[in-house]
Amino acid sequence: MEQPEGFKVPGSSNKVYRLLRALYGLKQAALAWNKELHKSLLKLNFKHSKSDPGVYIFQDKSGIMLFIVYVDDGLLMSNSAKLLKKKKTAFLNVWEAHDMGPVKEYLGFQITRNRVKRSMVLHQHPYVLKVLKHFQMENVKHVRTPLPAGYQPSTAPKDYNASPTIRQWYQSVIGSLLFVMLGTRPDIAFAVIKMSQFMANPTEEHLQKALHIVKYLGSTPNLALHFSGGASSLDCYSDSDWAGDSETQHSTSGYTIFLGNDLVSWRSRRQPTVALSSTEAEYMSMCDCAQQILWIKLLFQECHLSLQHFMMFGDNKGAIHIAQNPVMEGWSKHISIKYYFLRECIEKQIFMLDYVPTDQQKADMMTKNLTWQKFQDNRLRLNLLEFKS
Amino acid sequence: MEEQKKWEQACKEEIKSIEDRNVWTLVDCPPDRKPVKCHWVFAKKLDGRFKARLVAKGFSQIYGEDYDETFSPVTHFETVRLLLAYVCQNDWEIESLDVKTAFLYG
Repeated sequence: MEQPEGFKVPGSSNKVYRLLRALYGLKQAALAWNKELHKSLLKLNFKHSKSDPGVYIFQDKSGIMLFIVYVDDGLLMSNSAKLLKKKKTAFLNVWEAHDMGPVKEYLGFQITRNRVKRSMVLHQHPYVLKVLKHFQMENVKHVRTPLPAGYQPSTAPKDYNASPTIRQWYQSVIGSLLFVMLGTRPDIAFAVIKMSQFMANPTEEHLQKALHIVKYLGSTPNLALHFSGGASSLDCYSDSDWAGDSETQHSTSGYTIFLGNDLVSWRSRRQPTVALSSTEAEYMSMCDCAQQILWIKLLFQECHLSLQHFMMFGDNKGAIHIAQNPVMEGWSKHISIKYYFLRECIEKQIFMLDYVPTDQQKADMMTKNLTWQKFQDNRLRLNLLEFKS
Repeated sequence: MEEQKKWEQACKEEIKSIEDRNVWTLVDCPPDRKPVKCHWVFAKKLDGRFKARLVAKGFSQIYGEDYDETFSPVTHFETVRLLLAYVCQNDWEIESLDVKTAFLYG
């Protein structure tokens, strides 16, 4: 590396530095650091999780401790205050770190906790404000939904080639929205995933609609995920929109997963293959959801956390029927082998499957652009509410 | 004038921190290699501290010549929400920390 400006070594200004260790900005910097951190956590007798590479687990007679790592941010959790203090002190002996005490913020999530009520509020309000300012949308007209009800974007015409300016602008809007969506805003998941399909060649129309989502954030900057505990069961809602993509006829899968009352996981995605019926689309969607349940189960086992009941709910009786019964009727014959994985999960009783009426469905908004009334109902069912500062 | 001195001081501290950790040694540049450039990043912290950080311009590195492995595993947001929800229900202790001069350790 060249010598830094203002600190050239007198008489050796032609020489360069050979780097023995990583420095900020180097391509391999993050990895090099992560390897060191990994080693020192193993030395402190933590076990590395297989289901999430950022999680380290310690257990002994005094209790359980979990250490979550995201580059240089650490989150420490334990059911024993003594154990947490002991391990933290040992860690601080090896690493120079700011000890920030009881959690208030992690990965840009603002965290407010009420220990008496055992509740928690999570939001990204400061980041949302930053996004609004960046795109100069602080004082725009309010909108009630992320995208207009039933809106269907269309791909750019064949001869259209997006200018680098619009492409860059578009990608930056979608990037900011993705971060908020993945963090604490399931209500924009469908809209963001939909619009992110046009990243490669966005038109002016696409940009306007992506900014519509930003406007929606501007109209609802105070929405926060509210955790209030409840039973320690995992309730998963699966839904699909058959042939929802008007151009390709692909269907959309969506799910929302609750730990007790708390929404912890959500996803919206366009299915990779065409479904021939709404039953098939729903069946595929339930498979996506099942994979996520299996992963959560593994994570909890590794962390020594007990979770008793696993439920999946769908609103398509036909799909539930083929999942629960070894039927092989003509119309379901073609469903790809990999999707029979769902039937196997049910046979092994990894989770139970049950019917939920459409009006109690909690994953509707993951699969389509709803009308305001339905959107609002669904949003309330996610415990996504305004926070009081 | 006062500020300039503080920035100079901050740079000196950063260089000292780098040298204390034996991050580099001064050598002649091998004839077939091009040194990576670096620059200073300055930040005034909320608590009034002046922080200077020396940053390598990693984008000028060439894959296979200057580096090979880069992937660094990170946690999923879902994991954070799942565990927070569970431990909050069960009234566990939750604390956070932020490791300093993170990349100097590798």
